[in-house]
Amino acid sequence: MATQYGIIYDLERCIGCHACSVACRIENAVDESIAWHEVKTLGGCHADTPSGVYPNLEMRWEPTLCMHCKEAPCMEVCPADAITRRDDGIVVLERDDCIGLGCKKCTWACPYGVIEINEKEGVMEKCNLCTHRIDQGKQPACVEACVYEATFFGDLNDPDSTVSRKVREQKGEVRLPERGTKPVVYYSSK
Amino acid sequence: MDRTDQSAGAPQGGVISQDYSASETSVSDYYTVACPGMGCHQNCPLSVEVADGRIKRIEAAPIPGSPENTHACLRGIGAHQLPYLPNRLLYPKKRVGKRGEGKWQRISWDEALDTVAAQIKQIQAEYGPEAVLMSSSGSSAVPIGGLNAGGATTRLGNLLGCTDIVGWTVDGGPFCAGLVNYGFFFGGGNDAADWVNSDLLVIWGENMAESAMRDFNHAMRAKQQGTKVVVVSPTYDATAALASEWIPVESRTDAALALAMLHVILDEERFDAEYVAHHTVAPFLVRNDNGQFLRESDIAADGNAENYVVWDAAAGRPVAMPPNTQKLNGVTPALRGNFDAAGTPCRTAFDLLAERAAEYVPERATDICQLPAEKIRAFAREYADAGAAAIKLGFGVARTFYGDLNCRAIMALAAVTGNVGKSGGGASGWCRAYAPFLNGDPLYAADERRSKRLHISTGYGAIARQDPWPIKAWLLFAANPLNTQPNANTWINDILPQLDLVVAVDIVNSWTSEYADIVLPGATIFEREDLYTGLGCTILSEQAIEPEGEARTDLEICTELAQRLGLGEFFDKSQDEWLELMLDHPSQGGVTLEQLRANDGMVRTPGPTEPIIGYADKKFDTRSGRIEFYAEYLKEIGQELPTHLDPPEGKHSKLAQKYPLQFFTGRRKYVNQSQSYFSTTKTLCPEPLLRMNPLDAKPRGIKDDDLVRVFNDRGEVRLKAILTEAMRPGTVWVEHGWWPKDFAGGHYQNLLKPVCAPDESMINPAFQVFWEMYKDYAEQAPSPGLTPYGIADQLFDCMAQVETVAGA
Repeated sequence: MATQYGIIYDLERCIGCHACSVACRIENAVDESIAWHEVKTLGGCHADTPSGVYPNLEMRWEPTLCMHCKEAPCMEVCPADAITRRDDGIVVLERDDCIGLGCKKCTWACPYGVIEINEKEGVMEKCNLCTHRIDQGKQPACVEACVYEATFFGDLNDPDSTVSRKVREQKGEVRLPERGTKPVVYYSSK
Repeated sequence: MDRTDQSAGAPQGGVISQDYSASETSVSDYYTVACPGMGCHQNCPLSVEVADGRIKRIEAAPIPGSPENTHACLRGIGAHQLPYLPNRLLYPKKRVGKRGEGKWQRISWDEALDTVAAQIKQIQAEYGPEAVLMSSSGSSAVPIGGLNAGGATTRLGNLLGCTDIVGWTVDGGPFCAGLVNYGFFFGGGNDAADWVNSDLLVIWGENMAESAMRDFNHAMRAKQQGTKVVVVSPTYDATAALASEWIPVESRTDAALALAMLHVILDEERFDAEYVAHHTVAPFLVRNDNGQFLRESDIAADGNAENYVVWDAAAGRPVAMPPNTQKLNGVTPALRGNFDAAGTPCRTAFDLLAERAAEYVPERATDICQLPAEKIRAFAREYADAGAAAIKLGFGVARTFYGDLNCRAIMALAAVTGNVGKSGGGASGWCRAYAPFLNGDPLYAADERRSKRLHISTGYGAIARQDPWPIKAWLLFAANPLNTQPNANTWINDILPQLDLVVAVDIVNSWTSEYADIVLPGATIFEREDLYTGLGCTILSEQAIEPEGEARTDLEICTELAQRLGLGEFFDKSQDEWLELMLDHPSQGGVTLEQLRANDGMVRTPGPTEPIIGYADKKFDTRSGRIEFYAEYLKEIGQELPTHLDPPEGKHSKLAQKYPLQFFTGRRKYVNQSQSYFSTTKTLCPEPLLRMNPLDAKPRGIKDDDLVRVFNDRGEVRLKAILTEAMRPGTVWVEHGWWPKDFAGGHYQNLLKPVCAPDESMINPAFQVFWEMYKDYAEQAPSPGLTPYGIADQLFDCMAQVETVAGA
């Protein structure tokens, strides 16, 4: 079976440190006005604040990035075929083929809000899962940066891969499953 | 240095078209460099990728033999920007306007060094050698105690006969408590890697998830493997959120909570009687008349004054107990009771501890620490009944007037439950892995040392008062006290005007260097070689890049100054020769520079392969050789036993009527100390935000994102406020690290008590007693860096008011 890369985040091990998002920014020279990879606080309305009323409080973090959907709505709406899927399942947005600020259709189509508008350069951008690193046999920069055993990357089509095992054993869930986009980024809270 | 990665080619698929792809085709070299640390002091080894002479990216360097410690956080990864900061100092300059006015003129290194040397000579001739103060710490200094800041600077200071201010600046609380209880500042704790063996881990007063992330990784790993992790803290932070349970204690009442728990443990007989009898001072008899331990010489004319006395319950008589003795054959020491020891009425120390704890029955403590009595009982039982329970003390417990007493109360819990000296146990402010030693003495010129020492508690006040001796010059290597020590106004108005010469060596223009006369550009850790140890390894921090601009290493600067001051013969070694000298220590097992260079800078030295268990032999470093929860030498100031005392600037003080909110600062993951440099992390945390509970905000008419003014009689700061339930009502908080330019006005440091300046009445008198005990050691130590005894700073004892800024 062909390779299908995916990621699982263990939200019980994620400490919200942002090493992943900082590593992504550096690795991909992402403009400081936007972010391909963010760590959102699951809690109050400000970053790093909890929900609830003192002292009954809850807070966790959730890394968010392109979900590399198997049914990617961004790909379907792009009039320039700037968004394509590689054989290994990674959904890639080619900046040079993007027709720019007059379109933005992909940003509207994406239910996860992870396609960014680079106003300075007039193009859409998103996480390409560090394909340049994967092609060198490395892990994506965000995965490499996580030293908290909270992020696992690998082939979801290989039942023995760590990521497949984690998805199975820790009951990984995808976000917005009802949208039918079939994301390959999983989250576990077990 | 020898790792070359040529595999980086054009990426496949034609999907990458950004600028960096061009540099992917160039050859990358990798260097192991100590993380600049930004104040967390974990100094994780980093793998630094360099292409075309510039740092490209940073990752964690794998630690030989200790993969669980391989670590780099967002600050370490983001440090790739450090050498290239927009405010990087690139050349020497001299002040041409008034101090702090910001008028500078670029000068040559020769002019800078000649000027500094000439002024040092003149000042030393007029006022004595000790009129020059030498300080070194901070970011370009990493690793502290290596060859550069803390190494070469110490050598120069020692040879010049400078004044040193000893005692690590703040955060003395847990370490002074360690000194009392265990006889050693860092005693009583296990390596954090041992927490997986704990049934219970209590993180008490520390936001470890943001301030000591490598330690916290051990805590999370332990939690995943079944350890219950409990966090005690007034604030709901990342650490509290990720714990199994959070205990929301009232701020600055930790001693009351610990003593209430102690009462439950003693009252319900959940303590370890065997351990208490043989490894603590519990059975020692204490004289009713003077509160001192009874000595054998008190009860027998020919008795040894060194020996303590216990009551043999079986024989019904007093028996001498020599120091460093765990058991006496045939003697069963009584733990409780009043005794008449040859005419001297006495009680056991355990009795006195129990009596003190009984003052804090949970029903009374509940009023102090604002926790339900049943919660206190449940926590006490859980701690006592755990097979092995570890306590990691944070500085949050200690940043108050009686911070050391808080820590001593908490450590007493571990003493009575036998949790010190076993795997899974421990109670300490220190939880680091084994590290071999470097040979410091010859580097510090220990045999030639002429420097004089002042203690941190009064040292900076000594400059303001010019007493006990005049101090007229200050050489600061990588230190930014205006930003990192309380109350900048004191520095600007009282301390700096006393000085005829202020020389700042730093990597950026800091708030402090703005007030210097000569500013010298230092090399960052990426631009020089240095040695440090940690995680069972000796680590050569490799030079990854050439220094930016005219930056020079501290070693070069000290060498140049020494040559101009007639001390050239003492600085006649090359960098390699110094590094080889530092490696000449038995604990290194013969590690050489060549070996380090051939092994990516890291070699695991001979030493323990398992996590260290503090005091596994139960041979404590105290005078008695036991855990001393009772300190007879503190009887004179009424602090022989742990107790809860309200700080002078507490919630119940008179000042609180005028300034009802406790204002305090702390770390966040994005910034550390004053080193909030990196634009990558600034995108995540762009501005300072005052955090306050809606219950405090609403009556003041404060809404989310309002510009507010935080103020008290000492100063003010203006910044945006956000409302969050994370803050305990009655407390407001901002992360530290911000510079004056980051605020809409003022600075938080000016709200704080200037503990480093004025008079001794502003610190707990216990610290004077500790200093007397410790002075000989501190005055003999070859390097000021080897004298960790500080004070419990009072960063959290700050009452303030908050109001909206009109017209904002």
